[in-house]
Amino acid sequence: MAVRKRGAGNLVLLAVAWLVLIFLMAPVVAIIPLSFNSEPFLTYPLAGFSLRWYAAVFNSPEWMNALKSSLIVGIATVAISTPLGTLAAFALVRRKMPQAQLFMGILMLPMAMPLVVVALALYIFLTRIGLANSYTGLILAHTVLATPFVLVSVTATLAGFDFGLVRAASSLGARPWVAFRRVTLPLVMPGVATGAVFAFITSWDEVVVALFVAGPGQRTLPRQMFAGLREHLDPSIMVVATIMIVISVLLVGLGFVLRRRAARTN
Amino acid sequence: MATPAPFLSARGKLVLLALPMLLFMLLFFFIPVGSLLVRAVQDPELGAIAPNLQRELRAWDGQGTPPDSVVLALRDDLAAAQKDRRAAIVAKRAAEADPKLRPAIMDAAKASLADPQLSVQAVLNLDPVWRDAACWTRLRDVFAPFTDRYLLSALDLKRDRDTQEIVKVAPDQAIFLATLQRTLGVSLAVTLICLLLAYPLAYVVVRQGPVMQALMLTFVMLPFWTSILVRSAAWLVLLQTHGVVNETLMSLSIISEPLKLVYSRSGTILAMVHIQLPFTFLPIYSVMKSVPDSYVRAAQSLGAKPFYAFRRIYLPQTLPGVAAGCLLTFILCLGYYITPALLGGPADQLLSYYVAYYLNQEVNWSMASAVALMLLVVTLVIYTIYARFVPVLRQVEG
Repeated sequence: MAVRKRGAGNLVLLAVAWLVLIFLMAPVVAIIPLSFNSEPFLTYPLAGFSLRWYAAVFNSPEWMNALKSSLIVGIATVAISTPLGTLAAFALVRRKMPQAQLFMGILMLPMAMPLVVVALALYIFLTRIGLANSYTGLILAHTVLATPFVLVSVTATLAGFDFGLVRAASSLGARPWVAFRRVTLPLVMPGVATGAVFAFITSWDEVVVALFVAGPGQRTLPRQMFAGLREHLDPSIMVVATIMIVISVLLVGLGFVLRRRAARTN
Repeated sequence: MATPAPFLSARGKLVLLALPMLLFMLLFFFIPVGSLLVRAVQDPELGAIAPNLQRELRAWDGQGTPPDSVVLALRDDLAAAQKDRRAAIVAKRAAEADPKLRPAIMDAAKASLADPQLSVQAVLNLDPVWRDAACWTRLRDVFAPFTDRYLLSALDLKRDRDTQEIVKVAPDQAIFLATLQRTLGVSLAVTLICLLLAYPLAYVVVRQGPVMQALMLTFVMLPFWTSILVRSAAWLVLLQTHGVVNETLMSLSIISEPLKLVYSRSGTILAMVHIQLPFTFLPIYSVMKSVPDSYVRAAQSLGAKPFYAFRRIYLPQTLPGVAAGCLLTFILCLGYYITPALLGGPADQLLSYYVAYYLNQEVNWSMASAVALMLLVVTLVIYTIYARFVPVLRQVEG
């Protein structure tokens, strides 16, 4: 009796869990087929299969410029935020580092800060130093948002790192730079790469700061998409959404593979 | 072999490693965000448009009628401003202090541009406002370089025009406290719904085998790493009047007319729950993974009923995860802008909306900063609680 009751309870819980999981997954999956609709409607059943909206997006100078802007800003953000975050992580994980907890809390603050507050502050600041509406300004702004992700990702990897290995290398005569390059770097590289992936995704997905800080010359994909969503909804926006989903999934998949490798090497 | 004395101590070297990021964040995050404090009480806009007028007005003591130098500065600066079509900005701002000033300023700007040699008397004769000493005093206040007007406005307060005492604004202008309340209310509702969904989900997921667990986690993580904009867009498409959800419900004869799901509070909250759920789930899940089942089994073998054992033994052990997940979700909800902008109606906008509104539509940076400060203070209070609750760093020896 008791067993059967618990079994029924578990079944109900399992059903609830799957409903929640479907709620999470369904909206993301549901919009992908809409990008293949042969008619300009965003509903099911599809009128027919067509790649016309993909052709429209890839032949549109606006969307292609937005893609170019997103790639420029994303890659530059990775290039700046990865070394900054990695170096800081190397310091903060060590017990000898004074006030590490405090610094960590302070440096992670941009992750919790409302984006419009960051966006407004940076807009006013960048205007004052003459960098509003420029690639440089947008890249600096995205670096502010992305660096904490690198920091978190690399500290997570380093928490399992044995600094005794570096001491061993030094005691065997390796100079600090050689010990770093030959011992430390290969072991923490997957963590650094994961951080770089998350830094890129942060910039790739970001819309609020881009709305405030970027000018018409730096319209990124999310910004172009936000404008499209407010003006007219058509399946070409679903094409861009699909591309963004696919790229995010591929990058996160890459991040997971790297992290698993990091876990194995440690 | 003696090693040379190190140039820097070990601690010094560590600080040096962290220095680039600390300096970068100081320069591009803490200084800009900190300057919002100054910006919210600062009013450089009018001073930039009419610098001489501001200097002369501030040099005048505000008693009686202003000296001729003030009137001449008004004439010259308004003429110059009118040339770049910026006199209207001065007129609009002055109208906040006294509506009569708006037409008077516009007329003076046009007349001064037409005739740059206008005499003091001619300017004073343009409008009765200029012969009223009280109006000049109000104009002087409008040109004050520092003001508490915006901070007061953000709290639905103002200074009385005559007595200068702090009073409440008219009920039809009181929007910010109501918006703050709505922001807190929506954030709380989203957090509670997320908790109700995430807790049982995490409870089930930790009890699955490795393969099933990986599959279920994929269902959580894939949407989690899809951009917020894309997910908001997905909900916008699905919830439209003739969107997928309404069409499905109608074809199943559950409803006869489409529900109003977009541009509504329910649509906003639905999409926010969808976006925030993984943030609530992950901390609860990771805590549950470390809670052993054996205590609950021990309690039950000692005679505790399943629900009693759950409530007294299991639940307390998972509370750190619940606190972390809920605080994180609540903090992030406070700053929502994109999702309410796309899925909410005018009455569903949160505080962030007003920051964007004052920056982009009104071009009033000081007011935008004042609203941003309100949002910042609320967020910092909860972040401080969060940072005390949740260990953010695991250190290693070396």
